[in-house]
Amino acid sequence: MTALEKAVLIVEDEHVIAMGLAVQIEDMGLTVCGTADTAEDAVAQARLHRPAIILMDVRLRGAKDGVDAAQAIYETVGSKIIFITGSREQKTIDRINQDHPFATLFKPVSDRQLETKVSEAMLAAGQA
Amino acid sequence: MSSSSADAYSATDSVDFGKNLAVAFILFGLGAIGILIWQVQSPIFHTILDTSVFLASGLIALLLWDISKRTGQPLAWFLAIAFGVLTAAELVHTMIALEQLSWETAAEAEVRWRAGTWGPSAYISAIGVGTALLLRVYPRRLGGIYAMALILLYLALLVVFQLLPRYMLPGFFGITRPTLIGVPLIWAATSFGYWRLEKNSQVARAVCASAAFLALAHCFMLFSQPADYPSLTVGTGMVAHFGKVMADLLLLMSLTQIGAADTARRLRAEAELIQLNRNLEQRIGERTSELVGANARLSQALEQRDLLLREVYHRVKNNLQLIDSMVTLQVRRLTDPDAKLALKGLRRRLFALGLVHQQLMGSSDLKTFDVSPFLKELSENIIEGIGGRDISLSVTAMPLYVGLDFAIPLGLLVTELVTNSLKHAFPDGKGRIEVVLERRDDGTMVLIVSDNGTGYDIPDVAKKEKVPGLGTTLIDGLVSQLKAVINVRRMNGTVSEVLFAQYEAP
Repeated sequence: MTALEKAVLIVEDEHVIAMGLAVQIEDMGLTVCGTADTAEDAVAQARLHRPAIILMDVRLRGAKDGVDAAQAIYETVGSKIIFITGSREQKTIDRINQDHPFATLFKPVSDRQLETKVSEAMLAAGQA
Repeated sequence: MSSSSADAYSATDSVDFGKNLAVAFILFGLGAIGILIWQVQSPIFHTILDTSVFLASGLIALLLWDISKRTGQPLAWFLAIAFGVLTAAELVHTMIALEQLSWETAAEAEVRWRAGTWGPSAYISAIGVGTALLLRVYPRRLGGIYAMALILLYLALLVVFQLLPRYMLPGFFGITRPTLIGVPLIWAATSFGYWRLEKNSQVARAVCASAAFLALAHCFMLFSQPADYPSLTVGTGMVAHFGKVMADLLLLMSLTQIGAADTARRLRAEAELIQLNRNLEQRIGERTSELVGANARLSQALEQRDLLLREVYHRVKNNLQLIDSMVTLQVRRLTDPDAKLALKGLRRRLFALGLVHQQLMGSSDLKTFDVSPFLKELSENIIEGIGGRDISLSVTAMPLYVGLDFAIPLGLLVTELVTNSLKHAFPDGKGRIEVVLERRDDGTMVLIVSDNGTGYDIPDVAKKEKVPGLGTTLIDGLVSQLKAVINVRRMNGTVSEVLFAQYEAP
């Protein structure tokens, strides 16, 4: 497995929210390599850009969700995945936890929470 | 089972007494014709009939006693006593004729004792059955006195009939035994009495039929004569004896049929009961499955409601996040630092709203949640957003379950108060903020946000000392929405104390 890029892939089906997250990531001095709004697109972009970090929403457009995408990415690319979920249902949390998440953040996510988890993930990915 | 009333024997499965009576009459008629044609007068036949009457009376007495014991009918009880005494009388009549018991010649005994004891037992049975009807309204404990009275009457009759002549020459209507003329009359009256006075009692109906029969049978006795009497009507005495046997058998059969009818009725009732039970069980089963179905539909509806509520909270939260993202994007395009600060303040308030919905989604009833962890997370977020790492925070909140209506203004109020302390209290960026939510001894709930900073004033909106900031305006509005009062005082920093007049748990 080749080294990962020091970049962040944003997977979020609400484009405005994705843009907001992108601004926050850029404000941290990091690069956003792309945004995806379906599980398939997320996997494709992850394989293409090989980002160190992926911010992953659970609800996505299409039949598959963020948990499905994360599973595929974990097996092929190995990016650190930070889930951002609107749900607090145990069912969803259990599914997320099967997918080796680096962290799980519940909406609303504060700036500081996001910043902390992203820098920890970068450190873990050896990109700090 | 109802007892103590005559109704115990009234029901659909009644015994056909008319038919019984008709059959008895036919048999009696045939027997009587035979006796009269062949002039049957033998002492052995006589003894057979006497023995039959004795046995039948005894059986009737036992049957009536049993019915009375089982149903508590006083009529059956007094009848049983009457038949008991009668049985004893019949025994005397039967035994007295046996040669071993006689101290006279057979012919003398025949006239003196056989004929002499017929009358007393005939009267005692008619009087006994008749008086039993009159006594039926009295308690059964009178039975002893009644039995004694009947026995005494019988003994008196024995004496009287020894004094009276047994036989006379044919007189009025050819009657040879005028002393017995009262017997058929009493039986007829008794039969009529049972017919009129006890319409609902089957025992009474049976007695009525039997009494009618006896009235007829005893008429024949009026013409009875001793064996050596020259007469054209030899055997009338035996016809009367035969009639007595038939009457007793009629009563026995009727009483037995009453018992059998009761059994049939009970069996049918039991079968009906079993069917009713079965129907009931089936209906209970149907009801139960209906209820189970309704329950399932209700829980489905509840699940649906939970699902919808979660969906709504999710959408609200998503929209708040959308607004937050737009504000974030806007902040980036602004250059004016005041404008940027204002929008960051807006984001803090949006976060408070989003956090309330996040807490609601995590709660089990989707309506209320514990305010304590909420206040902690809310305050931490504000401090992380504005202050540096040198501001320490302590949140001490009592466990309190709140709904949306209370949590939103409370969350916004805490946001404003903590923000104020952060902005104004610590010029050097170091300090301590405490958030406390507690209930005082007098029951009042109080929210305290305090800092150990340099102190600041919240401008009084009413006095319009100067144009207040948005935070100040919000605090004012939120406090009034919460039906609370705010006191701000300086004491090693600034202490804001919000007193809630009343708080009712949702």
